[in-house]
Formats: sequence, C-alpha cells, structure tokens
Amino acid sequence: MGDDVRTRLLEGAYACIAEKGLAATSLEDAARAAGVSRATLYRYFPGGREELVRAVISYETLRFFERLAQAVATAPDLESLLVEGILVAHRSILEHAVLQKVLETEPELLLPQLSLQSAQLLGLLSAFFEAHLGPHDLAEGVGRKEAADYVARLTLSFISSPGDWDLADPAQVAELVRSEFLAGLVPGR
Amino acid sequence: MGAALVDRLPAAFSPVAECDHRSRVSAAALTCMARFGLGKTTVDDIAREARLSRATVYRVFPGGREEIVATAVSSEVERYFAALGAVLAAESELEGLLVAALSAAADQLASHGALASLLANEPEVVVSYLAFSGFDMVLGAAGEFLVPYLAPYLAEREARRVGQWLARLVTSYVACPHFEEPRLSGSLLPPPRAAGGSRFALHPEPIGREEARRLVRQFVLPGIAVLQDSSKEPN
Repeated sequence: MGDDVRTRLLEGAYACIAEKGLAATSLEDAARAAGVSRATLYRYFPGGREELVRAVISYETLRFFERLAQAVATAPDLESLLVEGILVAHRSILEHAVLQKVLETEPELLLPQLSLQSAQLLGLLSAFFEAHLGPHDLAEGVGRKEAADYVARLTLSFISSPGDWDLADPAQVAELVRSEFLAGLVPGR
Repeated sequence: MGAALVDRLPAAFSPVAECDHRSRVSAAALTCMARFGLGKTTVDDIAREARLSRATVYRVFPGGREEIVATAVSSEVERYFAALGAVLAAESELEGLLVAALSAAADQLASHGALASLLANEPEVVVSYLAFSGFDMVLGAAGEFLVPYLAPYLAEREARRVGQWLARLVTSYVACPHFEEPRLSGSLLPPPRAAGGSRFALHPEPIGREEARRLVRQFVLPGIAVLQDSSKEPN
C-alpha cells in the first residue's frame, strides 16, 4: 500500500519533469499527478522537493538498468550479453527524450545526482555481471568479484560516453567487447 | 631587467608585463577559487589576491571574470598534463608506461586542491565533465595527450583507443575507489543523505601502484593484443 503510493508519487513527478523540466516541477504538480494531497507527499518525502527530485532520478536510473537487464537476460554467454547490452543501452540513451531534454536544458540539476549514484550503479551492475559469469568464463587467477567489478566500471563508462567508438555499429561493439572488456578476463584469448 | 621595473611599466607598452600580469591574475583566480569556491569569487577578490588594480585586471582580461576563470582552468589542465607527461617520459617500456599513466593520472587528480574544493562545494561545475558529452570531450583530450607517449609501441588508432581506455579507468577509480566496496542492498531507495551535503570526496590514492600493475597485466595488455590483431585483419 505504502510502496504503491510512493511509486505513484515517483511516476507522477517523473511525468511532470518530462513535461516541464526539473526546476519547474513543484510538489503540488507531483502530488496532483499522483492523486494525493500535499500532506501525504510530505509523509513520503519529508525532505520535500529536493528529496523527491533525488528519488525520481534514482528511481528512473534504476528502472533504466532493470529494462536493460531484462533485454539481455537470455543472452547465451557473457560476450553476447555485453555486445547486446551496449548496443541497447547506447540506443536507449540517445532515444531517451526526457534524459536528453534535461541534459540539454538543466544538466546542472541532473549530473551531480547521477554522479552521487555512480557507486550504487556500479554495485548493481557488478552484482548483475557476477550472476552472469558462467562457471568456466574466467581466465586463471581472475576472481569473480574482480572480473565483475572491472566489467561494471567499463560498462558504466561506455554507456555514458562512447568516446572514439561507434556504439551503434555491432561490428565495432563486438571488437570493443572482445578487446577492452574480455581479453584478459576469459580464458584462451 | 628586474621584475620590479617590469611591474612599473604600463602593461600596454610591455608584452612581458602583460603576460606576467595575465599569469598572476590566473594564479590568483585559482587561489580564490580554492578558498571561496568558483561561484563566490569576484573580479575584486582576484585583483586583491593578485595585488593588481581592477583596471589592470580588466586590461589584461577584457572578458572579465568569465575569461579569467576559463584561462585559470585551462592553465591548470595544461599543468596537469605537463606533470603527467614528465612522469610518462621517464618510462621506457609499454607496461611501465601504462602502469605509470594509471597511477600518476589518478594520484594527481586526487591531490588537486582546487578540484577537491570544487567537487565538495560546487560539484555541478565538475560533474558535467564526468558523464555524457562532457566526458567524451575529456576522453578526446586524454586520448590526444597519450598518443605521442604510446606511439613507440602502438599505431595511432590503437594508441588513441588505449589512451581513452586508461582515462575511463582513472575516472572510474577516482570517482569510486575499489576498496570502498560500493555494494548495495538492491533496493530502489535512494542512498541516505550525508551530513553537510558534500559527498564528493577524493580518496588520496584511488589506484595504488600494485592495483595499477594488476589492471595493466590482467586486462589492458591482453586487450591491446586483441585490438592490434583485429586491426590487422583484412576487412
């Protein structure tokens, strides 16, 4: 019940942000969109507007990664999981209308929050990769946690910024995954 | 000609004095930024710190505060790369070069006073260079910088990619050092609020020498071999 109201508030606030941007979204807007009173909103987010906005960014970021995880869940091995994951993530970021709009018009409100979240995202990604490392996937001397942590760091970095690589091109993504991601990690390379 | 005489010459008549004044103003701006933060630093603060008149400051920086800050930042970036370059120039084989690049680049970022102060007090100024298109710019600059050092060992295309790869690792470890074990319960709740609100703190040694060597031996060198192989393959 409580979680349900909380989710409605987060989604209501997200809809407002999509429409008006981060700075112009007020607590009244979010409460109205969720169909609850201002008092109820304060019960869930005692820190008010700032806490709500932080929670929305966190919620949407984690949902983005959940969708990404679902999109690649059936990949047969780590290499194809990474290739598919990077292609999908790159496209989703470019096509994410709300993210792109906020990045263009009010990056100073979004980016500090995303940076503060990076340790949390790294933890999530790392746990995800650890679960997807098959029993025979690792080169000798590489620990599962070490491998998962390394892959998570690179994944987060490439999802955000492709640098010189064209991450819309499956051949380049495959080369990237085989070299920077997996060369030292999987046996027999 | 002594510095005192140069100081007394009208700046407009002396390119030497003008250049000297510009660097004094730029250095003063950095001192002020480290002390008050970027947002609170005014041209008056900078002039006072440089012990120059406001008029002189505006003569050497007609663009005012914005131009001073941009100049100070870019001179800091140059200084950073120059110091890193001095470390890299001492290396004579690829593995040592890569290890030195990772650990020195990270250490120098982590011990940068003005950067730490900006991150703690005005993170929005810095974090725009840590993600999305801002970080692509940083990657481009880092790749460009490392190409000549990697040139004895790698073709330009690989050198650029490896330079950017190192920059990604450095940034990742400076933002989240390994030994902090940033693990999480898996809930969708945002992380708890920290007291004072400044949660951007730099660890003094984000990538230890041994960890850098391990990264290079375990991941970077094998990855370079694959990059080189795939560029040899006929397409």
